[in-house]
Amino acid sequence: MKWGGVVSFFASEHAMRAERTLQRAELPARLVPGPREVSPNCGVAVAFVWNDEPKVEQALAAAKIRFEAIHRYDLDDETGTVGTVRRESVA
Amino acid sequence: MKSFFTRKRTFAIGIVVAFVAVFLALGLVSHSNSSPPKLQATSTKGAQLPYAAWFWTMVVSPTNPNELLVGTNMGVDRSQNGGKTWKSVGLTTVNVTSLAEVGNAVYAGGVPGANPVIHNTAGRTAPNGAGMLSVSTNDGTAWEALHPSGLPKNTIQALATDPAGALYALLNTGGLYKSTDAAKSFTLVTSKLGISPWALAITKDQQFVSGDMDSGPHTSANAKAWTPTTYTDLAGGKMVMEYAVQPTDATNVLMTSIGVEMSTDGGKSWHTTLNSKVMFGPVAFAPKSPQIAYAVGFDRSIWHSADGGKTWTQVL
Repeated sequence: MKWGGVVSFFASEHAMRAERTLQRAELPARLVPGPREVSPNCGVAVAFVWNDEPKVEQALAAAKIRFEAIHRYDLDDETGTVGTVRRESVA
Repeated sequence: MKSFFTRKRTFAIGIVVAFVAVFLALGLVSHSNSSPPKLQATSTKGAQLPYAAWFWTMVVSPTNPNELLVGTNMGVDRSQNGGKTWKSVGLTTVNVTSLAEVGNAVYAGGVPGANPVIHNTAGRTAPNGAGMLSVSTNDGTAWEALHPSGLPKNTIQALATDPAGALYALLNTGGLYKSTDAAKSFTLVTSKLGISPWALAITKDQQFVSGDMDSGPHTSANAKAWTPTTYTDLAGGKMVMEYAVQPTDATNVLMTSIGVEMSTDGGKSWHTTLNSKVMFGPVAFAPKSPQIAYAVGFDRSIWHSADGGKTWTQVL
């Protein structure tokens, strides 16, 4: 799976809640190790498809899940390729 | 002039001082037993594992305590210098959920494909697929695929060894199987674990410990009936990621969660030994140097303990 964005968090439990919330909203999302240049805070981030970014932000806001930032970031499960932060929107 | 320190007042002051002293002493004792160690901040300058979508499992070489193997969703990475640098050593098309050692043999279990984790009816597990079991007898340099009898070809979620040297394979269906002949054949222990199949270890007196990311650690005498352990992780949840049992004393168990926890009673109770905000995954003892242990954070940091997991320092 290729992901285009990651959400970073201050705490792992927020990341786990976010993953569940997005999956329930039928938005592809998964816990991933947080790329260090994105956020070293809790070690994990939630990867999502970048085209879903507005819906992701909306779903997290509706569920009142605190997140640190949403990043444009390429991740590829198959190759382990990671990209660079291309845009960052701090919550 | 009458002295303030009458006999009654002196007695009352004595009582108050004694109470204060006792409370202070109790407070200090309680504090030293229950407070987690000082929060360990991850250094951005520390050694890092190569990026992977999931860090599952780790073993330390039976012959060299500086040689580590880590299983990820993209195979096995090896470090030959205590975690400072890493190189892929194979099984790159396999989601390697578990590594386990019996003697000089390292077993790798998992499922082909890079997708690391799914949610299914059993909870959070590795994806369904044709299970893979391989063995290496040269610290991960080469891997041989195994096709044991009696083990269904489903995703291997976790491998574990018991103090007697038996190898257990937990499938993502919840089936648990045991081998006592170097993985040539397996026999069924239970077709349904009864709790979410995620992480598994066997401690002293054949006590099973198991848990997942959401429901916390459990113990069982038979891997069928489970008792939840009173435990709250550092973030207020019940996260269990991985276990490691000390080779020379199977009452000492490490468990990764938010940071690293330790049990000195075979998994019945836990206390924090690595206080961190970071979610940790792989953890392992060195078989021949059982005071040495390693743990891996999901921020790709590597941590080393020289005292059996009681204290930790980041590998730089």
